Amino acid sequence: MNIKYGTNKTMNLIICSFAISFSIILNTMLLQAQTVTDKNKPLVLAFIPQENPEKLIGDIEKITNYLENELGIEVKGYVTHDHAAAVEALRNNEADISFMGGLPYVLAHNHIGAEVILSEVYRGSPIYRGRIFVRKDSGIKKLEDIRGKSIAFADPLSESGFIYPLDIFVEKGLIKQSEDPQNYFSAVYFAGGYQQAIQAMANGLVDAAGVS
Amino acid sequence: MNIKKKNFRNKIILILILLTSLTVPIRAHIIKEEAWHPVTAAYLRGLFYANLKPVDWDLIETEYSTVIEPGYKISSVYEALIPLKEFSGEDYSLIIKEAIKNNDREAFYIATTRAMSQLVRYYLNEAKKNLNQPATATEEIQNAKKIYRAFEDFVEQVDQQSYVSMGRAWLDMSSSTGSSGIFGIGKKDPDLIRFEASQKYVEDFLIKNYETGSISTKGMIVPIPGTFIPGINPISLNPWLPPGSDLNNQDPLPRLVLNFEERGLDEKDLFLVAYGDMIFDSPEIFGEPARSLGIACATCHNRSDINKRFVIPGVSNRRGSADVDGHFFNPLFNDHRSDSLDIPSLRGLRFTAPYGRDGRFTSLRDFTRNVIVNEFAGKEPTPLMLDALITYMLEFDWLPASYLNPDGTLKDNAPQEAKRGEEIFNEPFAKLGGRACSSCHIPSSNFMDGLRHDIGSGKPASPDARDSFFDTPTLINIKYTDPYFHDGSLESLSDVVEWFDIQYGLGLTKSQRTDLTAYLDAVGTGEEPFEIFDEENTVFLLDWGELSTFISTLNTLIPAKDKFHSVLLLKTVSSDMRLDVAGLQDLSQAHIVYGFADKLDEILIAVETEDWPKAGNLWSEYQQMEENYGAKLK
Repeated sequence: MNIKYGTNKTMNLIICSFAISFSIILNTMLLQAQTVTDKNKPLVLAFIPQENPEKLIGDIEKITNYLENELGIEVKGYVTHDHAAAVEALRNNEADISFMGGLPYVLAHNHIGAEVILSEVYRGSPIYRGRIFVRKDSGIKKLEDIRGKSIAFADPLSESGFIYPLDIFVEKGLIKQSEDPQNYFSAVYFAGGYQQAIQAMANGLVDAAGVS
Repeated sequence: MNIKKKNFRNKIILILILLTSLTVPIRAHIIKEEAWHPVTAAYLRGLFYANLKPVDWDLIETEYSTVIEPGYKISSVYEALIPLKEFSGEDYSLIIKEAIKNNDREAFYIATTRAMSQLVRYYLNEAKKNLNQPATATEEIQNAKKIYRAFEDFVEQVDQQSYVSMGRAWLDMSSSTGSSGIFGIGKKDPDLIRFEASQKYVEDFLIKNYETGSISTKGMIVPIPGTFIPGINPISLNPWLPPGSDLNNQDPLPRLVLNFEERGLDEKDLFLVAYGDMIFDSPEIFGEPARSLGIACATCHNRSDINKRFVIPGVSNRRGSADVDGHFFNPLFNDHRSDSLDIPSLRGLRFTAPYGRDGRFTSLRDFTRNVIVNEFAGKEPTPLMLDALITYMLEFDWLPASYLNPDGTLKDNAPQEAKRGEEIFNEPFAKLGGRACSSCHIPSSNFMDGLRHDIGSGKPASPDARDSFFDTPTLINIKYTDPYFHDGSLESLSDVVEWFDIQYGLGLTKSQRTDLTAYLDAVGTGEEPFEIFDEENTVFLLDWGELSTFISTLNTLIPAKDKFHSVLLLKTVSSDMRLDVAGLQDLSQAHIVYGFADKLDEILIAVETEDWPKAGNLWSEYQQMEENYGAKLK
């Protein structure tokens, strides 16, 4: 199976500043209380199910073990149900640190004063691009060709798995700002994750996938 | 910000930077392989085992009474099936256990397949109950989908239309759960009508195809849709591997030492070597299922050494091993014995005759033909194929042995404990019949004697049977080839020392064992055992360099109008090249690599139609492309 890169774009500058891949977000309000005096309180990390939860559990163990050794305090990690639960965990003091994408971060920053402390650098860059993927044999050559065809996104609350890819159509003037994408596509699906969306495209269930 | 807080925070940042820098993937692919749900994995492995001859029912029972895949709270497959008692009124644990106890393939297949189908429906029902909690509903749908995955590949192969309809039904369900939003932003209500319609579609399909009717299991038992409907015969399916299989190259990658390269020669000047190198990497020389699964010589004998990661449940008794004369690879060659062998390194191959763990072949040519034709069901190789393959393999050198003199004695730079171990190695033991370790592992002869001995490591057919003799293996480079012995039963060199000490009552002290182990370690040490990747030597460039060498043999094959060997070469390289795209550092270059592969396909068509002038022209065009773009790829 051959998959080619379809149209892609770099985020515009304003969005780009938030499009930090899997940023590590620190709940600063909570950290103010985290001093040497309460060293017995464990540091809690909340992970969103970005990867398969099963895989995450192994990764979490590595990270928490490493942090425990380095910091000398107890470190706990768990996987939240979704983006919303990760933000809620920060707000409810159930977690000190979380890993999340741009949109949940903006909301967490605005509502509870969360701050970015670190972002993942992938292939030399701390930003990523929303892209539209199609199968090489689909006959789709440009964005306009996707009109009236089906598309799968990851999740309605995902910036790189919905908002950014959709914005590619908006910027091209194909879909109006705030217009229901259902008007442009024959069907809009939320596959539940990046991988599921791209798999649906690769397997021929949908014509295109909008993910990062 | 107070100082303590700032320091703490800086420390976290530093640690996290270190952590994230640790996980640079060597290979990335646009579609990652999804982790298996343990129940799905066990179901497919169970069927895979039940299709082998003889069926290992103990292995099947182990699959159902344990859980291998990580990340789930259940401790057995039976436990996962408990909710079905209430959901469907069936106690599948009892039914499955009974089928296993009775060694009844048909009952086992029916029970497990129905249970899987009903488990999908159970999770969907849970999703529906929780539709007002989007995260929970989504999780239940994903659970259901992970169980359905057991059937999905088979549905795709036999009924493309249903595969697509089902796929869209799943997408409909995942799209209809709504979203709880964040702080109320992005909140979306569930769409019950859309969910119910797609749920019904999936349920009807499952009930019709996996829960009703009766089957005959004379042939393979596989969950193709309609299996239970009388009159539908098993059809030919693509070979498949059970979950948990791993054919990939190990990481770190062993370093390949080729004698001609060490002498500064270019492989492109050595036609037989280059063509043999290609054959070593070609699944095309094998029959099914190896060919479709992409298994080549190099899969197991990775870079002339071993592939420690190689495992096919039911075929390998542990990682780095395979039963190559079992039912799976070639039923005609099935010896009906569970005798999975540890994959041997081929380094130093021209010195290590005879071949095979029990030294059954004195001729490398006979051994190689047996691998191709009998073990992996390939067609009879041509004389050129065998000549090329053997010429190439005879170039496999050991890694330079850092601590050894040419006569096999330790150099002065060897660790002290190893030197003490060397004395023990050369010391005759009464319990060894007055012989020393070095009597068989002769240092001056690359630690081999070229003979077969029964040291008690095998399982004889009867107490006095003389059927458990094994070839004395070399000790050069063994530091990197654990586990040890023909069946890989000993994990480490210290285990080997301990085994001999106990088996022969040598009475070694603890420090003697340590010294002897240190000696084996020193003998087994080689220079730069693993390939080092950096900006200059990327995974892609290593692969690309190899393919360029392989394809250069067209310079000989096209003028010779050699259709057969050209086709073999082009098929191998073209498909390999497409796979290697995943290793590109800059994926925007993917289309360039695909362009090269497409050109090879054009040459293939010209060769197949024996249009040699056209093949020659296309080959010139390919070489021009290589000149234009080859150096830019990374």
